[in-house]
Amino acid sequence: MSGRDESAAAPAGGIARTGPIAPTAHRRSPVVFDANPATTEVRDGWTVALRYRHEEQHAGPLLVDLSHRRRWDYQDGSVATQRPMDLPVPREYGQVGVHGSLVINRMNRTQVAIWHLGDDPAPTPPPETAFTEITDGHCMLAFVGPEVPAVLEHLTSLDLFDPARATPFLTQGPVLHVPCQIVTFSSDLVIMTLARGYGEMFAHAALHSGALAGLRPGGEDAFKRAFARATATSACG
Amino acid sequence: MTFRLTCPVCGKRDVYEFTFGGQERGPRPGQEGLSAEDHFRWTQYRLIPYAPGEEWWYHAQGCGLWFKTTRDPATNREVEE
Amino acid sequence: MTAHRPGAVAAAADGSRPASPHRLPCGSTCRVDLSRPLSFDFLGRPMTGFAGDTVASALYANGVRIFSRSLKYHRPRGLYSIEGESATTYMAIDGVPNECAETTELRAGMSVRAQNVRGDPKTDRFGFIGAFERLMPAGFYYRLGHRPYSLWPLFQNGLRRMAGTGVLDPRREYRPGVRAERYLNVDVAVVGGGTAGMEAALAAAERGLRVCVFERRPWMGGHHAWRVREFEGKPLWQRASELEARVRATENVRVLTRSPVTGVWGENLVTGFTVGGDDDPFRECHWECRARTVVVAAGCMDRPLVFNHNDRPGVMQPGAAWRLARTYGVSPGKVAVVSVGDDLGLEAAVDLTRLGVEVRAVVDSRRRGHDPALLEELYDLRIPFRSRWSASRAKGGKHVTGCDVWGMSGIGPNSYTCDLVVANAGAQPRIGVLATVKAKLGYCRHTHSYQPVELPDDVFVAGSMTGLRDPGSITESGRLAGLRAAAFCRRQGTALDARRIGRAEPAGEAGPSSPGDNCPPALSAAIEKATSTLASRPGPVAGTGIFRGQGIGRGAKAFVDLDEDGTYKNVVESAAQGFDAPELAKRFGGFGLGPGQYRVTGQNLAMIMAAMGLDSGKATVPAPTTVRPPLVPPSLATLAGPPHDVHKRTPLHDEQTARGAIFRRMGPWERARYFSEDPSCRDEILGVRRNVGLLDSSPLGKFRIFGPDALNALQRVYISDMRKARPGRCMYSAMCNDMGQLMDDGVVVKESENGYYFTTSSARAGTTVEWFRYHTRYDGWDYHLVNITDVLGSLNLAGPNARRVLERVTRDDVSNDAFPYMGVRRITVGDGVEVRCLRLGFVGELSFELHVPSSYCQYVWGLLVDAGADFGMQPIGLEAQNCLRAEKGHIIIGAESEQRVILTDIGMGWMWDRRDTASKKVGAPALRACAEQPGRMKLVGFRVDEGSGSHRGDLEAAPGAQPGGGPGDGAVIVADGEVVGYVCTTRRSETLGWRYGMALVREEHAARGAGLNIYENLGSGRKSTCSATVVAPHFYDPRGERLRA
Repeated sequence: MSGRDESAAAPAGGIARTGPIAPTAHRRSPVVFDANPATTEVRDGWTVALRYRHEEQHAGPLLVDLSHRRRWDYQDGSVATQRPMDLPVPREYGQVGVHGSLVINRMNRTQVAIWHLGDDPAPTPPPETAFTEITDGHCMLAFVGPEVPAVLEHLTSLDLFDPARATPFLTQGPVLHVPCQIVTFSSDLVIMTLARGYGEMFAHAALHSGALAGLRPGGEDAFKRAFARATATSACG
Repeated sequence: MTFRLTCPVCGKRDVYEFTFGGQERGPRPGQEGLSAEDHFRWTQYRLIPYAPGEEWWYHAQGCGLWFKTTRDPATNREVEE
Repeated sequence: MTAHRPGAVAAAADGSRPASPHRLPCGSTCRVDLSRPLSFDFLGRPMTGFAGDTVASALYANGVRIFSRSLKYHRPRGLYSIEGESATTYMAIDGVPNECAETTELRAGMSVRAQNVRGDPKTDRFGFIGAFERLMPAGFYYRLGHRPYSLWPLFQNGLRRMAGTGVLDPRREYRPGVRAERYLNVDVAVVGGGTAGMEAALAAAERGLRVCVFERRPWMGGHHAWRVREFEGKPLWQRASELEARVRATENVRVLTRSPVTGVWGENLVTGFTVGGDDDPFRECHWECRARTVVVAAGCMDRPLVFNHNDRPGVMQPGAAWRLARTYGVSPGKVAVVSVGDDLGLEAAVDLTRLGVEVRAVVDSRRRGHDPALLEELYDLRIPFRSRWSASRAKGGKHVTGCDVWGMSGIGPNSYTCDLVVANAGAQPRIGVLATVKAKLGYCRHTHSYQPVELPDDVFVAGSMTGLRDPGSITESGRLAGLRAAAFCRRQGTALDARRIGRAEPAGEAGPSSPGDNCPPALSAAIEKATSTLASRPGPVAGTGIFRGQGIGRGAKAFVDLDEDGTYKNVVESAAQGFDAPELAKRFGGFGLGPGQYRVTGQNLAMIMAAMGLDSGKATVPAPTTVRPPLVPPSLATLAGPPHDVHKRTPLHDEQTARGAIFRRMGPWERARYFSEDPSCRDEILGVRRNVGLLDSSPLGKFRIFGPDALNALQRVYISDMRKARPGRCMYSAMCNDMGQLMDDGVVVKESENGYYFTTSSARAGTTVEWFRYHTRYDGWDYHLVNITDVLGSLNLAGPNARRVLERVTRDDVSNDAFPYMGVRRITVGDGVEVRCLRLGFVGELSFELHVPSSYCQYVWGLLVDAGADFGMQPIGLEAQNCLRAEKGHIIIGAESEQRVILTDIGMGWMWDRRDTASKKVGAPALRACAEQPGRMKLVGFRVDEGSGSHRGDLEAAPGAQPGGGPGDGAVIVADGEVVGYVCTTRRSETLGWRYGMALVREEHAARGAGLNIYENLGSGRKSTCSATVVAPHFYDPRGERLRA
């Protein structure tokens, strides 16, 4: 991880390149927020917005781009008995395990998704065929803060806050008509992944509809705080 | 018109999340010596009774599972077998 | 939302002067805040209303009595109902036509205009039309003016000009404001926030269920909200208000006010919409609420009394007059005659008297069943009362000046002078929601209303719509419905749901914990208790089967339907023409087809028809007409929803935008089609043929498949022998469907023992996983698919200089020896980005397809653009690719294939592994059956004969049309006056110097050297033709030397 660059410009996918790209910041997120970051950081080739200027005055929900967080797909005919990256596979479909900075989602009979959400460097999976790194295939977004349920009511008919389900839990279904993998950590933290191609328009639409419930773009710091809170109180760990 | 289907992985969801895979008609026949008529009977011939029947559905917007469910075309609802 | 607190004008009511001559001091039930005046204008005249007014109540308070002119007869129409039951007060508000003034809340600065009038509604130029009523019998527009048929358009246009409601100004820019949509998931959806609905909500919420209440008014309480009668020591409005406070304070109850329900759809999907108040960030919000159970407590409304001139301004329903006074503090009139058929009407008469309206007489069509307390009050107030009497005629032209009443036995008339006639025939339940939940309705001879005979087992009914009038019975029925809904959820609950309900049970009620159990004993006990309490209270009250006043004669001016100007006489005419069932008469005479739908007309129409059946000896019971959603119309902008078009963009979207790309939607993707305004893409094409071009082909489908049965799965869906796939080499193959039609093509690369990488066409990327799993669903094979379409972008570097550009960005050996045609390598570009590189040749030149991790695509694009700058490399779009591949004779599925042709028809039969029957390849049996069939369509190439094309004129921009003329894509091929095929793709090739194309033609015309006559109808009598000669469909570089260079 490189040091923080307090004055860096937005992590925008610039339209025309002006001069050579810094060797460490080759990678682009599908999501571009129309907002001014106060703090950014270059990490693993990505420019990550940690905080936006408006966040100080904004007490409402935030939409945080986590597309740079590493993610893997793991599939095996007998996945239940495996320990991918040394993690126990959740027993029931839709269950989510939180193990330090790694989150493992049981998607179906044969498939899990592993997300790296913590501060430590991401682990390298063993060179098994069963692992596919899918970081670049997804746009990953976190809905953070108060009123997250109200925001999501504008975007999906899925029951993401069913009181009968123990958090964190996984829902696979459409948000804004785009198939998503959604993990509800708490009423103030929901993370979803969707096909990268939809990312830009999806974030635009989410901010447009979510604005009715106060949604604004947010930096990664806000997500980190919410994740720490949610996993501290979570039953899985 | 709208109804819901029970995905064995994801639970009850709106029908819009699924694609229809036709009625249950048994496994793909062996091709050694398969007559054209038998092949087209298997692929094309449909009897649609006005009674509950087994159907294939794919959870396209969700977990990506093909599953069978029994549904009553009169009410559109799934029925217990 | 603005709080609508009752009693807002209590201060003004304390003897101080009302704000306008039409305002009443109505006290605690008032919802209008006289301290907050709002100015608006009506037909340009400035007026003042107050916060809490509707447009209709404010207009009425300003002395407006004529709101519109009627559809057919241009009769003056006033305020007849108060909640949009009729369309008499549909107006243009701020330029938007057909807004219901009765339900639209007044806002400052509104501009209101009357509809269906020329000028002021008081002096409408078409007002004379009513005199020609005889010329317009029921269904006249089906019967008159059609002969001779040539006159019908004239007749129709004339009718359209005179009739109809609002007018939309096409030049006006309509700004719909913010339209939101929201989704809810609840256990119990309650339709109607009256006292029954609120009790139901509380009963269910106390058992831990998630509840949502839809209430169309800005406040809750139903008809109790404006009643001052006392029940158990408290005024009804106060009971309602206290109950509302409790409901709103309950955490798991969601209260949606200003939110009418538009319908209930399959498996209890309740739809409705909220009209935004001053504080809401939206104008209207559409709701979709998925409920496990529905409690319908929609209440009642007035059933109109049919009598002569019952549509005159000044005639109104008791609910309208009463609520005008009680809710809005507006005096409905000075002197009234009241003719009703139920106790609520009598109560309204008493209450209006107390509020200062002089009631001359009260008549009631019922023989018995009156609430004695109300009769006593009428007596105390010295108001003459007669039972078995009813209004027969309202007098006056533009406003009521008097009223005749007749005894039902034929005595009469008694005449009164008055400026207000308050009339109904009785009460009717709001059955709309019941109809949309598919309840079977039947006519109840006790309440004289439609009641559910059969209900779905997850729907429950409560409140006054069941005929209950006693406030205690109403709330108890609500409570019972809420408990039954909770018990249903408990019974039907999955293991997961049961845990929730069990957990949240109030103390002492926690039932057996195992799922699937019936109701916990405490819940059963609560249901039993509520059932017996309800049974001990007064039940449904008797209604009346009367629908019309005595002495109305033919009823030519007695309106059954105000919206469509349907009179009693018209109903009789319909029956006489043979349309003698309500559903038939409804279509023929238009009864109930107006915006008010069933509300004014429905039950009366059925009752009239039944009575006529009785007269003619056929015993009939009133049959309900079908009620259809939307029960209350939301605006089209609300149904359209927020303006989102969530589609896919490639990782190189911004780069291509900067280079001037013109984008088109292709399936879910937005793709660069052209890089200039030249639709022939001449420069882009020649750039690739002579130099090098760069194409973004990121939407290409990309997949991994692995597992012990991966090869089995490939063998099943691909038509070739997939055992031939091997590392480092692209194997081109195709997928067919069970009919042998080509579905998809792409390359397969073996990457490890049981692991493969393969590509699909962009259009199929979304359904490939589904396709594989469908065709192997019985096999139980152990293989896994990962869709990595979005993980990898794709950059296609093509042209004779492609290698020289690539060499500048990688140190890996990409020479022809190290990396031959159809090879696949992992190479490293720039600062160490590892990419898959495939040497393919779709466009017919030396080309390298780089599959780059998406987040690096912009970086790699930049590298290639910099490296290609010295060669003058240009980006190319899809149209250029389309021309390039067509010159090469490479097909695109859907362009050169369709459902009538199979793999062997389009020259791709070489792929098919004919000997393999063991894999049960999808499509193989069909190919076997049809490959040798005679008379099939075949794909051929053709060369347009020099100088044969007729000029296309002004259709240059059509696909395939190019300067120089000749038919374009889709033109038909004709032989002996018969269509024998059509052109798939045709272009003029700059490279070849002639016009080429591919066509599907019947086999007998497919031989090399055969002539084709191509014809295209350009419309308006113009056509385009040319002749062509069949050639091999490999026009450019037929031996493929350039690919292998």
